[in-house]
Amino acid sequence: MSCDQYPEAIVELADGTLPDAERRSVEAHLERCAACRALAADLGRIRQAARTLEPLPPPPAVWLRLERTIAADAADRGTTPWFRQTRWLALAASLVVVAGATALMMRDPAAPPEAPPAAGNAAVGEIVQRIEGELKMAEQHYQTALADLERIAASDGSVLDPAVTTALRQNVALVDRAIVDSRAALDSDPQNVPARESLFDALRRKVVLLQDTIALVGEMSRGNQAGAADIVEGLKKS
Amino acid sequence: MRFLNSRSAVVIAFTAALLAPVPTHADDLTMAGRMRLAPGLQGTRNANEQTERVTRTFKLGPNGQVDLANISGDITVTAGGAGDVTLEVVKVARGRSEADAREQLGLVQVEISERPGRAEARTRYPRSERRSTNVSVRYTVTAPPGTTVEARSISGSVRITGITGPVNAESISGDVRIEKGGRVERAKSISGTVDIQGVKLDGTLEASSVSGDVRIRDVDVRRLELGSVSGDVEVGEVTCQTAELKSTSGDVEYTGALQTNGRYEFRSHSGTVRVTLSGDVGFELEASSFSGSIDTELPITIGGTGGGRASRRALRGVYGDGGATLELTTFSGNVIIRKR
Amino acid sequence: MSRPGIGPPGGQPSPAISPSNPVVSVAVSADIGDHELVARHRQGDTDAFGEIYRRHAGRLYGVAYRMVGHAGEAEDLLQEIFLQAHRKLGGFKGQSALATWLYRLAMNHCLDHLRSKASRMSRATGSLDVDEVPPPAAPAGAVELTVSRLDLERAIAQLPEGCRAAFLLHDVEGFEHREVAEMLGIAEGTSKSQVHKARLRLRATLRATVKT
Repeated sequence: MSCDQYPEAIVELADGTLPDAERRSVEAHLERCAACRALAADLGRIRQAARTLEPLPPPPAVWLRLERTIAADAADRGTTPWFRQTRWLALAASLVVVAGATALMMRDPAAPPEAPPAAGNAAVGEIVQRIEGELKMAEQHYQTALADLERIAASDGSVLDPAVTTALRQNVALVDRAIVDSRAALDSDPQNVPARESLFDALRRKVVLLQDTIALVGEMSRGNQAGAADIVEGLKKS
Repeated sequence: MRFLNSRSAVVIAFTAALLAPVPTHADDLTMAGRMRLAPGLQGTRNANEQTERVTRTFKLGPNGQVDLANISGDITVTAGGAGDVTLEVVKVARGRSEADAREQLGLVQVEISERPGRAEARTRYPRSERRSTNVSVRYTVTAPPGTTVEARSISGSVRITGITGPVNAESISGDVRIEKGGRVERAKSISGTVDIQGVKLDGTLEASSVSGDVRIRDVDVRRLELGSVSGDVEVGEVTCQTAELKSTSGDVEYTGALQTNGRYEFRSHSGTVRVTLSGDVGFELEASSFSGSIDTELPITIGGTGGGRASRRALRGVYGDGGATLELTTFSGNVIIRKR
Repeated sequence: MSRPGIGPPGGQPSPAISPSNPVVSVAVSADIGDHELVARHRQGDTDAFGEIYRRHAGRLYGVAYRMVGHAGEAEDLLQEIFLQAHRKLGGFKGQSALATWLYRLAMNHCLDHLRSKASRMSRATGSLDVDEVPPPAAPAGAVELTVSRLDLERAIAQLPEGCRAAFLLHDVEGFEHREVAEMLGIAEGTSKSQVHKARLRLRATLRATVKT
């Protein structure tokens, strides 16, 4: 066999899809032929490199614009008012239902508990953990959104008052401190109702803030740039 | 259409705005018309400021819908007019020269459109390839009181007066003010204040800000939901069946009477929760704080349903006829109860 | 919110919906299959589509970006892809995996975009089965090839569209030839040869940039 016939086989060898019978003959050829060996090595490298190509996350603005367009679609078809739709659809901050947590919080510490306190605490702890896990994911989107906002605010011709992004940063920091305080309090006194409520309340407040910030990016990228897509949308309405 | 470059797209949008369906009665001169005929006669304070004014009238009936989306500029909606909705849009551009200002005017588009029963106006800025755009756009609307109004601005304020139809008002850095309203569905700002007065509604009034105050006065609603993060929440002289007032570092203040069987939950993390009570209805109290203090001028009888409790940080008991339920909670702030 | 001991005994009022206590959607865990998500979407669950986006947009964006080589265009494409997905999801019958369906939609958009762009610029487009001069073999005893990601990305961008698409789907995204064939609307054998051609061309390009 001449070298011309080998490249595909070599590729399949590298892929692991070469039938056994052929494999031996290919391997034998590789032992003799430096050029084909070089080819096999190169293809292996390329394959490895291809596998390590990084995933590229799309900017959050894409989802927000998409959401807006979908809402506008729905509005056009008369299903819901466009204005209201985008409000709390913030993808990044979808959370676990806290109904379980609320039920726990309604337990009066002075009344005999229905379950041993330890179990109650564990359940609370688990819920908090789950919420915080989701928050952490939302946090990344939030950080990106806030950075986008700050860039928009700092750019020429921007109508967004930089004080707004400062306000958002400061207020999230405030809520974060409230979370830290509450958690510390709860650690020192696990039965303490105000501490527990404080923690849940602060976590919920944080979700709202994150949602607000992320939605704001959507507003800015929509209203502030007459991109072709926007204009087309506008043309459809006028 | 994706491949239109932005300049040609702007021209098309401008033209499209001119070609938008014209309502049945006379308009003012269109923007282009005014520019063509008498560029110098527009209101200019100085040569580097250029103004454009457009007025449109819509016949939407007594219960029409108005949607306004502005960017840098105020929105004012007032009840009035003889059954029509009138919209006045004033664009003011400031530039380095007259030509520059006029160019900026042209770049900021206001898309006005009308559909049966609904009018919409939206400000659009160009993709910012250029240096600062110094254009503000002001929307002034009069509409029948029953109109549904949705108004949002990014850096301008939103002021709505006398509209009893559903109202949604939002601003990012500007203030929101609603007076003599009915169905206020949402009033929201991020760094501005939200002020609502004179609203009567058999439903829920929701208002929030992040760093601004939320102030509600003279309001008669079924439910109040108010929140801020670092701003204060102040409620005075309201009639409501349930209320949820929250802030993280700001104060929460309620002044007025409670309703029998009403449920009131006021919370702040590090700010003060203060209730100044008037009227005859008493309350069952659950007041607690992690590290703040509780201080009441009213005599609370320790006890009541669920057992009584009194300590520096927790107080549970009854005042008066115990008709309403009052939950006051802080983390590190103080709880204060006073008599009017 | 606490209601310790106050209120109707045994009653558990559900959390009120408000900006300070937002409605939070039921957790869409990874355990819920794509087909279930589609079913929910059809029933009007607005969060289901969001979850579909969350699961697939990342990879799709990567492919779109590497196909068209321009972030802004890739963003526009991603938006169009998902917009169309939203409109057409009602008609998805579930004969294939959702990912396959999405990728097929995406690849159609990408290839259309590239072709119309190319024809607008009056450039000859690469079609799926164009015959090209086979790349030169590497000289014997050549230096070991180190492939940096940047070099590889650049080399991918130079591939003709057809084999670029196949390569991205098979070698980068890791789909099998059977799946790639479905996504590109070609035969499985064509997918194999396209990927093969891509690799050889990449090798030639990368070798050409090696400094000896």
